[in-house]
Order: sequence, then C-alpha cells, then structure tokens
Amino acid sequence: MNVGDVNYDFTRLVDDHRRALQRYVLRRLSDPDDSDDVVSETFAIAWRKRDALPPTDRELPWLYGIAFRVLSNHRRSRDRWNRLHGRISREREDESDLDELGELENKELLKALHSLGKVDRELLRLAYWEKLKYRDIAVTLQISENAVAIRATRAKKKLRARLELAAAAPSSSSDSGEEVET
Amino acid sequence: MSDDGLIKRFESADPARRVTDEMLDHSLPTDKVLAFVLTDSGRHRRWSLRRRWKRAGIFTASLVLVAGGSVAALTLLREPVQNTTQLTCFAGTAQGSNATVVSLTARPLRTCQSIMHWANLPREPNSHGALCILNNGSIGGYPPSPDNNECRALGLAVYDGRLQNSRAAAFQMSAQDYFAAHQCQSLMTARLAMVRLLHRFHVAGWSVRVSGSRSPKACATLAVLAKDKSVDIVGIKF
Repeated sequence: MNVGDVNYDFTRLVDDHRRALQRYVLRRLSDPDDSDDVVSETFAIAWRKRDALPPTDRELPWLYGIAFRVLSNHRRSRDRWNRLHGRISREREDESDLDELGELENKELLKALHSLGKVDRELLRLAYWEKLKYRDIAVTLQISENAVAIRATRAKKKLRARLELAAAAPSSSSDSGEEVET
Repeated sequence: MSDDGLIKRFESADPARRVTDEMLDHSLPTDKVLAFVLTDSGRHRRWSLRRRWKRAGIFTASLVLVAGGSVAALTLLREPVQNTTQLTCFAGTAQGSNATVVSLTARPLRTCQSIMHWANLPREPNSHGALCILNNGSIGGYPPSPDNNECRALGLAVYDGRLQNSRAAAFQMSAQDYFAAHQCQSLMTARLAMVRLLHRFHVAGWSVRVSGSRSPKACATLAVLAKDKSVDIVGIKF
C-alpha cells in the first residue's frame, strides 16, 4: 500500500479535525506521547470504518466517539501494565493534571467531575471543553439527544452540589476525598 | 452556581488551554497521522487474514468435536447389538421361560414363532411378538403380550432392527442362509461365495479363512467371528 491509497476525503478529514482531536485527547491524558498514539489510533480506526463516515457536520463528534473508546482501551492497558508490575496505581485519569493546574479551584472542579459516572463526566467535558451541542454529544456517546439532555441536567446539578460543598469547607477539601498522586 | 459560572470554571481548568496550534502541528503533523494510518492498515489487514484463518480453524475443530460427540452419543443411545449371530426364542414373556437358541435369521420373529409355536393374540391378529436386546448383547424373541410392552416389562432395550454394523449383520444373515441352503459345499466354493457376499454388502476389512479338514469330501461349515472381523470356513469330513 502506498500514500496514494489514502484518498482526498480522508486527508481532508485528518486536516480538518486533527487539532481538535489532539486537544480532546490532551484534556483526558497527561502524557503528550500517549496522546499522539491515541490520536493516530483514532484516525486508523476511522480509516477502517470509512464506509460509515457520517455527514461533514457530524464528523468531529463521530471521531470523538472513536477516541473515547480508544482512550478507554488505553487506560485498561495501562492499568494492566501497572498491575503486572505490582504497582497499585492511584493515578486516575485526570489527577495527573492536578499538579500542573496548581489552582485549588481547578482541583476542586476536577475532583467533583471525577465523582460523577463515566458517561456523565464525559458528557460535561464534551459540553464545556469541546463546546458540543446535545445532538453532537448524542453522536459521540451513542445515546439519544433526549437522554443527553436529561443526563446533562442531573450531572450539572450533582456537580454544582459537590462544588458548593467543597466551597463551604475549603480547608478540608484538600485533605478529604480521593488521594492525589504527588 | 449559574451555567456561566460553570463555563468559566471549566475554561479555567482546561488542560489544553495553553496548547497552541503550532505545538499541536509540531507534535503530530497530518503527514505523520497518514503514515501511521497506512502502516496500520497493512498491519491490520495481515492480522485480519490471520484472524480469519484462526477462526476457520477453531470453527472446523469445533465442528469435528460436535460431530464426533454426536456420533458417540448416538452410538451409545442405540445400545448396539454385539452378537449378531444368535437369536434366543422364548416361550413366554416371564423371566425364566423356556428358550431355544438358534442362528439369527433375516426374519427373526417368524423364526421364533415357528420354533416356539407362539399364538397371535385373539384381538390383535397383527401382533407377532417383540425383539429385545438381551443382557449378553444378542437378540431375544418374545411372544406377543396384551400390553405390547414385552421388552420394557423385562427391563430390556427394544431391538428396532438397527445393528451396530448393519452391513456386517446383513452379510452374516446372508452367509447363514447360504450355508443353510448348501448343506455340503466344498471349501473353495464356500470361500468364494463368502468373498462375493462380503463384496456385495460392501463389508470392508474382513478376512475369509479356511481351516479344518482339506479332504475333497469335506463339507464346509460356517463360523463368523464378528469381533475379529473374520469368516472361518471349517471343513468337516462326515
């Protein structure tokens, strides 16, 4: 196979969405080397599934959906590797970012976000970081738009409650809850 | 907290907020992605082929196992008759009834009826008795009974006409018929007849042996050793 086998449409797809996808992955992983692997793997899967490519306005949410699953596999592989080497991994998917952020408010937000379920957490990230609309989030998470709306309302309510609780007890927020790897 | 408040907090906590387009382009340019896609595509195709062969292998092995298991199960369920040369005809359906052992014939019930003088049941003229598989593996013929359930009443399996090796059984029956019809056949003629019968019934792997008296006046008698897959023609000089 040579470069000529990748057609113009797919080259355009990579050109159009590569940066957005890189940012999407960087927001969920701390190691830039890992993020490049995840992005490349996402496009490789997209190439294999090119027959199911959605209309242009749905391409990015579709790619996010693939990346979401690639990230899940990546985390599972990493956890297996850690277990294999006898290390109890305390690292959680966002916590490695906490040190770099350095700000207490951001730490609280990420902690509160982490206390939500996997789908709800992803839903809020897609809404606030990737600025996706509910119909696009539905494409990414492969659920109905109505389900996205319901889950978003509940997730926001929960997140606000957690943040208000943390704000009410700022001194204990850094000591209590989940451990942060330093 | 309002929605705007949440938006601001998310923007503030965005791990990619300081990442520029130049940094992204430097880290992973489009060419690098396309090169990876092409390499992976070839690798995936090879794996896909290997997986296909692997699946085909597993499928074939499973099929062989299932088929083998089914054949074994069917063989066991059939409770095959081991001794296809003997027929035991009983006078009654009770345990310990008088019995006569004869060579198995093509129509065993008729044979037993004529030997043991069974009578048909008055109300059921078509009832001719039952063939059961005896504990020693041979076939037993029982006279008709009112409930038509002779074998089960005696705790025996019903012989439904299927033999463990139907071709070999058919051959044995025909061989016995041949010797019954030819009371004093020469050894060589009998041997040739048995070889022809084996061919006729497509019985493979059997041997025909000649033993006993080789005198030109000797009469051939038959001994079938089903277990050894051999037909012994024994010459007896009367």
